[in-house]
Amino acid sequence: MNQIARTVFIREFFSSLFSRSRYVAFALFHALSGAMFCTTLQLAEGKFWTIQTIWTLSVALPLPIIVSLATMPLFAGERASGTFESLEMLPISLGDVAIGKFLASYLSVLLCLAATLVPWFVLCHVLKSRAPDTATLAGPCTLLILHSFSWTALGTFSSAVARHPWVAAAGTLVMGVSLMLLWSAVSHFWLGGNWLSTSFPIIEEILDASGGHLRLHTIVFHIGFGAVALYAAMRSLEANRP
Amino acid sequence: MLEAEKLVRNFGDTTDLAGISFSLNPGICVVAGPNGAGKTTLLRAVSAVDPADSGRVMLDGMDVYSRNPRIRRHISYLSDSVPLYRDLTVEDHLQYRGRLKGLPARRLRARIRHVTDLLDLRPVFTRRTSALSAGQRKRVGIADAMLTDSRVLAIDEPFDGFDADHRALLAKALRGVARHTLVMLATHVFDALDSAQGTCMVLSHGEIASMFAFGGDCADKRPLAERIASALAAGSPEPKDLAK
Repeated sequence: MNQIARTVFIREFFSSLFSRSRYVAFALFHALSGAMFCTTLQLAEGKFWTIQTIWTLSVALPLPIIVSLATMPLFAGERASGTFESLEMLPISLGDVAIGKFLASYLSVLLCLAATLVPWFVLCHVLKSRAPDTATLAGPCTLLILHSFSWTALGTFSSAVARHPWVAAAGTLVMGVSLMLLWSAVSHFWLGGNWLSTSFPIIEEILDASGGHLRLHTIVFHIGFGAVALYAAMRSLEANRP
Repeated sequence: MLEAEKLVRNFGDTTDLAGISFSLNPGICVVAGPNGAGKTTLLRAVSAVDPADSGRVMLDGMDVYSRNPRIRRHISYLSDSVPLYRDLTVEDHLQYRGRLKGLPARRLRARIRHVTDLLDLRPVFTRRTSALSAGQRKRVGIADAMLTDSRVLAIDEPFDGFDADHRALLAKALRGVARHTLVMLATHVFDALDSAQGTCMVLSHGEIASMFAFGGDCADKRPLAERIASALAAGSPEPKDLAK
């Protein structure tokens, strides 16, 4: 990380620590995640899903919401407030700025995810005999870190091309869901997959990871996709610079 | 030296710049004219914030529109709206912008001290930019633009929201900067500049209606506002006494 990326990273990260809207977003995420966890636990635990599967699903499914809210102000917010123009005028690479902003958002999303482990530890303490060991969370946690990476990169791209923060947030969700549907369609019609697994690849990989199976193609896909999205964000920023 | 050649900028059916050409040396250049004359468009065009549709701008032999990042080191532009990071204090804002401009820590501290003293920003140094008045925001924006020694400093409506004391203070600061920098000011407020020396470019309908020197040993001692008004009333270019 060069000096510009480091400067932007520090500014963005500390700014997010003192941002009221960021805490509202985090609270929303935890409320949604907690509600999903409790509801699914009542309905499905012991029937067809384990506790770690329920936990992973209840964290992974609302993840795009917190990521889209965390990334929406990165560039679109600066455009809306007028500071982006003065940023473009500086003798710096906007790619470095994008890296700094991306890393700051990624770190804040990871911290938010880490907070979801607290109820898990409480659950382990309360349900001594029934709750699995915390080590079984290694797979799901790795998957969530990968998911956060690709979603945050997609959010950074969306914010880099959008003019308004809420458009960026909606764009992140729309692009993410569209890409998942495209992935399902390609998998189903051209790669010989079956409906149950390939129509919902994200569910499939979550179920796999919660069982402790993290596939190589999942790792490669998320790192590759995140890198491409981040590169696209950097290129679009430089291409649209006056 | 800043040289602009046949700058044309259209917005839909409206022509904001109709083939303007000029060359300017370091010093103060007041860009005057009625609303819609093309003052802001000209400043944005020469700063490459919003490049002209055709024509070119050269700064000391370098093409300003070449998208060369090095050229951005030499041009500072401050828009009328003064974009500031609202969650930061004045000190943090200047620190952040200075770091992005690549100033080393020690030099940055010295520069911040210098510009805050110059623009009387000490009393609001630890205040959030969102809590500043319009005039204070403008001074912070100008301080930001003055952090580095750029060759062109273009400021849109620099005296907006200023009281008489701060107008005089800013005019004095800009006179100091103009010794080695081309300071372009698009403004409707001229009283603070009467004691300054420089060039005035009067725009009308996207064209240069008049361009003349003012202050110093210039023969015409009328106040700047009066000279601009008469240049606009005449509707034709005044004899250029730039050679003086």
